[in-house]
Amino acid sequence: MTAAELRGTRGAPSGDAKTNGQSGSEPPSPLDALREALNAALRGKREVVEMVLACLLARGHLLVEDLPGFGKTTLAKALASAIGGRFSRIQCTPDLLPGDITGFSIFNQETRAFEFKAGPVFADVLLADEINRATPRTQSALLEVMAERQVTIDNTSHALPDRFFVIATQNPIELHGTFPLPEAQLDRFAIKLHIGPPSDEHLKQLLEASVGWLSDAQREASQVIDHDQLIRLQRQTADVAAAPPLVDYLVRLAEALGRHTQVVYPVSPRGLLIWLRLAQAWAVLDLRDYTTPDDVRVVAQSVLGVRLGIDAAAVEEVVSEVLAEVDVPDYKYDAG
Amino acid sequence: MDALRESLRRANWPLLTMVGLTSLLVGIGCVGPSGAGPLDVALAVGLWAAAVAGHLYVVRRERLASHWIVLALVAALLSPALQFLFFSPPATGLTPLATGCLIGLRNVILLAAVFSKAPRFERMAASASAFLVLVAFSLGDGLAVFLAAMFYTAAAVWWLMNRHWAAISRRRVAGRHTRLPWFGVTTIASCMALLVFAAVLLYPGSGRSLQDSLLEWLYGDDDSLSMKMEANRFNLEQETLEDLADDKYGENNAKSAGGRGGDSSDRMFKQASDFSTIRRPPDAQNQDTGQSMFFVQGPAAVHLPVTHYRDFDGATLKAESPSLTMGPRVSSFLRGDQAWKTLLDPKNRLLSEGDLGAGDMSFSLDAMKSMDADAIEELRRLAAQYVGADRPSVSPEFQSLDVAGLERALGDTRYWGRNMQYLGTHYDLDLLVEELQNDPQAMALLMEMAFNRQEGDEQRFADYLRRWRKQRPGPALPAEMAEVVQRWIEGKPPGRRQIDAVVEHLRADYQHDPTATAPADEPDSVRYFLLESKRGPDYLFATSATVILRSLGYPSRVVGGYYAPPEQFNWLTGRGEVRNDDVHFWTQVWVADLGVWLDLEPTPGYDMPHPPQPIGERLAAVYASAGDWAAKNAAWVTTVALVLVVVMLSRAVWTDLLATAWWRWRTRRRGDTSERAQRRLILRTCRLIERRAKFAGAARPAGTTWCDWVTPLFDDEPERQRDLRRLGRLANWAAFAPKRCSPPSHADYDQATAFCRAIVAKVTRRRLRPQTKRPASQRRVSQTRDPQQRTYTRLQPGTTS
Repeated sequence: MTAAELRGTRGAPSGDAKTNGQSGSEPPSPLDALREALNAALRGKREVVEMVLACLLARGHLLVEDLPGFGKTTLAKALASAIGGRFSRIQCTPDLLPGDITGFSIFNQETRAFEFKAGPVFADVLLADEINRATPRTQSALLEVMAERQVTIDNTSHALPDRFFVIATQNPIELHGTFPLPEAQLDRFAIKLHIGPPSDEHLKQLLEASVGWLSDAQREASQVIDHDQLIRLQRQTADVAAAPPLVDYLVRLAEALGRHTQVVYPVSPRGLLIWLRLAQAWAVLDLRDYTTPDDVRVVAQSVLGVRLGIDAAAVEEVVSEVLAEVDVPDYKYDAG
Repeated sequence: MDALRESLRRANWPLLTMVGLTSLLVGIGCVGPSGAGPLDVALAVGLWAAAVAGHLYVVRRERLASHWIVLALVAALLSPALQFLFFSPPATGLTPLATGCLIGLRNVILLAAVFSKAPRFERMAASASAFLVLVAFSLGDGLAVFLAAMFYTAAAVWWLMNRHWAAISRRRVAGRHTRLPWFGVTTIASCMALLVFAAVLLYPGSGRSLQDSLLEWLYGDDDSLSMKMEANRFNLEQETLEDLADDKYGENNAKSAGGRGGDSSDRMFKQASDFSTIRRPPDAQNQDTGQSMFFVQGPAAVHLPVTHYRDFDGATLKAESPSLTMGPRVSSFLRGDQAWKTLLDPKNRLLSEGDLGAGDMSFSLDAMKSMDADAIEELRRLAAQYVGADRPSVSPEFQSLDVAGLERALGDTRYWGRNMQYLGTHYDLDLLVEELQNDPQAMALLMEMAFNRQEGDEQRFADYLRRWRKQRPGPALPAEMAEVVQRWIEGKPPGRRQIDAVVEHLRADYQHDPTATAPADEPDSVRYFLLESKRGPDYLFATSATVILRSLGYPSRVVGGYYAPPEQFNWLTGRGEVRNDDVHFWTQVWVADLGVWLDLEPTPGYDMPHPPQPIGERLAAVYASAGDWAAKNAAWVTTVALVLVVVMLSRAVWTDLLATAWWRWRTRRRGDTSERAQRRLILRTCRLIERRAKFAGAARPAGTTWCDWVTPLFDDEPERQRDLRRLGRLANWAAFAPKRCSPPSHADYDQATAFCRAIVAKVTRRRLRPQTKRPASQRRVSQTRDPQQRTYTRLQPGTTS
């Protein structure tokens, strides 16, 4: 996959133009269409949208943490409808049982056999709302689903669709009666995002645009990218080149993080893999077929937000310290 | 295990190295001249190992109770006092108090190094160890001390760099060490290696090639050196001093016909032989000179006597006694000011009792031994005249007496006192003959003594001679020479002053010239040297000095041997080399008060052994000579200094010009438009810009990528900023994209050369200077921007172009 092909997918050959600007009458690339759809749903949060897209391209699961009403669910639903397919939503509560999300076997009187009733996880996009309110037992039921994209019930494995994508939200306040996600669970998420409040300008736009609409549901976006296109994009992401100095840089970053006194858990190999994958995804979003240290650095905060076993503020501090400490690879010509 | 590894990683290795070398230096540097034993080294290393272990243990601890440490430090300082209570103080060349202070300080340093996690103990250990190393370095000498001090310097530089680096590095994360950049370490290390190398090469004493010195040092007293010594000893046995002297001074005129006479076995046993002062000039073509023979310990000039010459007949020096063989005994190394003690130490057997002049010296009238046939005839004639007057006829033995017979006859007599032995000169014979002519009574006395022995004759003759010698005022020399010598000693009280005056005048008024030998037909080389040529080889200086001193009444003799010149001292090995052309002649005078022969050096250009100078005086001499040199070459020094100052002040300009020229040369067009060439061009351009920014004081922090770095650089010039970001994008491709990947923007790629040249031309060092450093006229108020927007542009992909 070359950069030219990448550009072909979006139809706009110029690398200098703004990525989200449609040039002339050319039809938008699937990536731009997706970006546009998400931006329309979540106003003024382009950086968040980019990260969500990167997460999608990297085939990682997304954890969104923010206050209620900031658009977590809106974002998830917009994404689900934009990539099409089935969307299910689990509202996590302390009495939610594993069977409620994975499905269960039921005895069919007519066929005299057990029949598997698929649960809500059998979807293309799964929104687990307020995931930290579910019991550890339920949370861990999601482990297998997220890591292996399959559900095993009564010794039978049921495969999930290959674009299965989990968006979990959690609420950083009202911690009464919540079960913080265990590290094992957190590591299965690719990134953690904060949406944050929109700027005044976008808030005004939002309010103005709401006039005349009975409910949000009415303007749910339509599907803008089909299954094959998404798979192809994910394929492209996996193909993005990572030069040896870059891999070395990633390893050095991980090593420096492990050495840091504040870090509780070092970055796992899976964490490093997903970090690289997100950097690759960022390169794809930038229409490149090779990753650069800049890509690695841009996604670092989001990737490490679910990994180091420390709170969000500390993560930001530690990651910026480590990024400033570890030497970026030099501009050296490598004949290989 | 992990804890240990972590401790090893976090240990303060530069300081530990410094402390270890200090401990070693105190062990080997402050111990007396006998040198450090393996025990001292083992103690130093053991203490250091203990300190390292303690440090590794302490480095993991969180808190340090410092009052206990201070107490422990005080205890360490006082520890030698306790040690001395129970054990005798170590045998060093210092007073016990000084030794105690040094050892206490060393213990303090070791203990402070254990707790060097605390900055004040670290500083304490470092500064105290620097002091201790200075002391040890000034006290000790030898290669081991020198090397240890060199390594200490290297470790100290390493430590200082680490401290400096930690202080200046803004990237330092609390509680962790940052590594030194390898570039800096290797630069410093190679500079130090160069300095050491230059010191080895330029040291004034290293007359020989470095390779030889190193080999000699490496093999030291080992087999190869002793093999060398064996070879030299063999040579020494084969070649007597006389042969070597022939090589150096040219051959004896008298035996020129046969070359080196006698067979080798004869020469081997004939250890001492006479030395003619009438010689040909040395052969300039002689290839055998300059061969190493043996080594002498210590840097001082050393005179090594081999043969003593007591008598001189105007042409030939007569060897006094069978001399000592040179080989192994002299090559047992003599050290500096210890040389004379060692030489004179009877246990050493370097000099026999007789050499010391304190033994039983049998009398012989050697001054008259060299009487020739003419003189005997003269005596016979005088005796006949005298006999004819009032005595019976001359006895028949006297009538038929020949030279050998007279010598034998005179040799049996014992008249001259012990002190007269080294007083006679060949002039005395002439004077005596002259005196006898005028004194028939004395003549008769002599005759009677020689041939008609009577009781009391001997005593009478001895008294006569003494009286005669005493009656003569001034030097017992021919008139012309006596006049010269009299001028020299005018107004000088007898004794050392007169001796010094003679030596000083010889050294000052006469020139050392190995080729100015006495002509073959000259009967009296001393007269020729003193009055006519006034220049000559060292044996003429030595002979003349001896003759003059004897004529003044000071017992003295000529010594032949070897001279170890200070120039041939090899400071690496601590030994001076003696070559086969270091044969030398000098004078010794008998000092009755001390009972020793004192060396005198009448030849200019040869030094007398003197005790080693204190280090302060040596340094002062070096500074003084450097100052003199600078004063002499003031114009050059000033010019060079000014140029250096100018270059230093404008070094940024120079280095930038050089770097740009280098860039131009490396990226010159050679019709190569391959992707590889383009990538290199782009990356080189980036590095040039980075270097310029470094010179301008706005270096890219190592933890920042190019794109992040250039973003705030040209806030006021969006176009320049955009160019730099485009360059960064290209560079990212050039550095990190495999071959199959195409460049980010074909437009940029195609014009890469022009683009890079434009950037190099526009993004100058001056423009890269940080705003605060620019002059006010160039400073522009940067447009205020929404910080949110900045974040957005950085995060938003696709906008980096």
